[in-house]
Amino acid sequence: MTTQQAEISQGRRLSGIWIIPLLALVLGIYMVIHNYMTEGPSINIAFKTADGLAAGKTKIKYRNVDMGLVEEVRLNESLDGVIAKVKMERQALPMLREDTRFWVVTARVGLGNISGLDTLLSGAYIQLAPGEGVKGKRDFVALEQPPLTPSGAPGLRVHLTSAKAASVSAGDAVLFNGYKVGRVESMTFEPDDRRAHYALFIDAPYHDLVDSQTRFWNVSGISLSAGADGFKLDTGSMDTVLLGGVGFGNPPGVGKGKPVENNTEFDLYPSYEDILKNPFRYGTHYVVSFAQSIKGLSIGAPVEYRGLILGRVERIMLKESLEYNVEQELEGKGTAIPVLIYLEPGRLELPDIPASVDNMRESIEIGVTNGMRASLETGSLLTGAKYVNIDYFPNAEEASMGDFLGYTTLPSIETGLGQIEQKLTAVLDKINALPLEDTVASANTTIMTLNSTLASLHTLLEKQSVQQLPEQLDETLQELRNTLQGLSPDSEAYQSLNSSLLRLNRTLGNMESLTRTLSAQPNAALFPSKPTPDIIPEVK
Amino acid sequence: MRVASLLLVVFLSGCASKAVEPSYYLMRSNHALESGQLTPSKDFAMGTVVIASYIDQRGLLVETQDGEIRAAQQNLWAEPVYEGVRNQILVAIRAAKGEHLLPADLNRDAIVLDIRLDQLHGTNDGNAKVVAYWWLRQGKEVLSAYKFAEVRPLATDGYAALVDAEKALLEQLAGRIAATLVVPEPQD
Repeated sequence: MTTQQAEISQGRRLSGIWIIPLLALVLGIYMVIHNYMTEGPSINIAFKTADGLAAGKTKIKYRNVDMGLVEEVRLNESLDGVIAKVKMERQALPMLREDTRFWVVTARVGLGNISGLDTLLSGAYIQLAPGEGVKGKRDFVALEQPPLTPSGAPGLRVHLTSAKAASVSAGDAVLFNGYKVGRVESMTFEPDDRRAHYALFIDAPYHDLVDSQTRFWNVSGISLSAGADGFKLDTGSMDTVLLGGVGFGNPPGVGKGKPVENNTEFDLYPSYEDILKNPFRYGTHYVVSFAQSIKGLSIGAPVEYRGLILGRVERIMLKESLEYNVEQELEGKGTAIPVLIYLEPGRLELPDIPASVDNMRESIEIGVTNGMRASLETGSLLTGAKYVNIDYFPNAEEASMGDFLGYTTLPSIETGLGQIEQKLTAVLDKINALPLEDTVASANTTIMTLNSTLASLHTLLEKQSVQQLPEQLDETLQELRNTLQGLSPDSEAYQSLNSSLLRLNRTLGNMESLTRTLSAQPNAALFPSKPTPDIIPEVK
Repeated sequence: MRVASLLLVVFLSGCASKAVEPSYYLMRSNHALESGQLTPSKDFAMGTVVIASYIDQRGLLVETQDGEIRAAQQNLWAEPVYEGVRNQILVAIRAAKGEHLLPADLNRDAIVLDIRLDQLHGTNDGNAKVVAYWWLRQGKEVLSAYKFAEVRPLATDGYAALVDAEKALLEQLAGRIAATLVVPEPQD
């Protein structure tokens, strides 16, 4: 028996035919890698509607260079918009950032311009505005309107608010001294604060014109006002007349402020005149209570300090006063009427900054301790218009500042015409209280009595004997004059009298000498002694 | 009876003695006498001359060694002192100014000169002494006031020398007064 041995042989060698599939595989892998390396990303852009969008047709452009193609347009999950899936070119990758904006460019006819006419033939396309934020974003929300300012444009973006929607809308010009330096980018109305909000962009280098003291006002349309000097017509440039616009600048008398940052908020004033009336941004409220008639005091009436306008009357707080009186059980007691005033330190040439308000409040607090009081004064005797005056009254009764519904109260004093009026009223009341009728009746009686007396006197004077009295009196006076003339220094009687008096004097002198001698020597008349010799004056 | 009458005559004649005659002095200016028309002053008039009461007596006054004032008994003024003083000052002023000061009641618009003589006597050191004040007034407004106080030594002993010295002092006083009689400048 023969043993059969298994014969071990080497396997067959790989056939050359496999080269082709292998080559295809390598080629395929290369193609995949190449495709991956060169293909742009896919992004999703949300639109409100699909107007102008067509899958496979609508292109994405940047500087008129194709950057992608819309691959698919579909409704979003909530069915209130559409999402366009766009295949972007790889070179667009760096442009896809968080603030990259897209919008549909189509033919638009507006009040200010006509744009996108070329899309009538070529079809709408999506415009890409590259951003500068973080890379990697793939889902975007398209703008409804083309942005008015290119992204990254140099300049300043500010926000304005106004209580009343002005005739300003997106696209309107922003003017400085009538020159267009920017534009209104958007206008929205926020129900939360019930104010209209505007976004403005001011191109460089004009953005340096804006600082913290800058005021913005509406220059839209035509302003026609009538005054004592006739009619006054104010307009901006023709496009602001037709389309509206916003002007800005620093009010006269208000210095240059500090530079502002992007997105700073400002107020939008209705007109330039409103700014001139209220050019200051910072101020503070006080409440002044007047226990007198406030007739003639109107809202907006000036508050003055020694003739300088310091602020204005903002409100007469009648409603608050009534509520306060009810709360404090002061109802029916004729309490003072509170008036809300607004004081602006900028009017005293202090810097228009919050710190000045604090300084002014401190000054007023110190001033009140030294007699500072508010008073109601008459500004015009013709119209009776009144204003609030703040001044020092050193003799005023001591008073202090208080609080009224959250406002600081400033003590008041009654002065001037108001005081005169009260005093006059008091005098008139006293005159009214006088018993004038009784007095007149009494006076009538007196006059009648006087008439009777005069009649009697007249009768007396008509008597001949009385009429002769003046003549007799005259004669008497003449005689008296003659008599006195006889005694005048020039008269003979006077000379004689004077001479007699001299002799009498001499005699009296002799008598005095005799009396003195007899006193010393009683027998001198019979036995005269030798007189004492006089002392002889001697030369020394 | 005859014997009794003779005794009485003898007795009375024994008691009789010769009376001493007093000497009288007149206060008058020594300016030369002249006649003519007086020129009344329009601007000034003579007011009152008041003398101190101790001066107003007839005897001339002399101060003793003890400091007393004694009036002479035999040396008398011939007229009241104030008349003499007034006359002498009037004459001296007329001589100095060339104008006579009328009494104030004859020239009511004029500035009136009033004089008070405070001292006029002989002193114990051989001088005559005069102290006087005067002022000028218009109505009741005094315009100016002055004082004079001077002494003058006697030339010789005796009352005649005292009178001469007093007259010289009054002459000096009148000269000072005359120098003050100046119409004040009108004020603007």
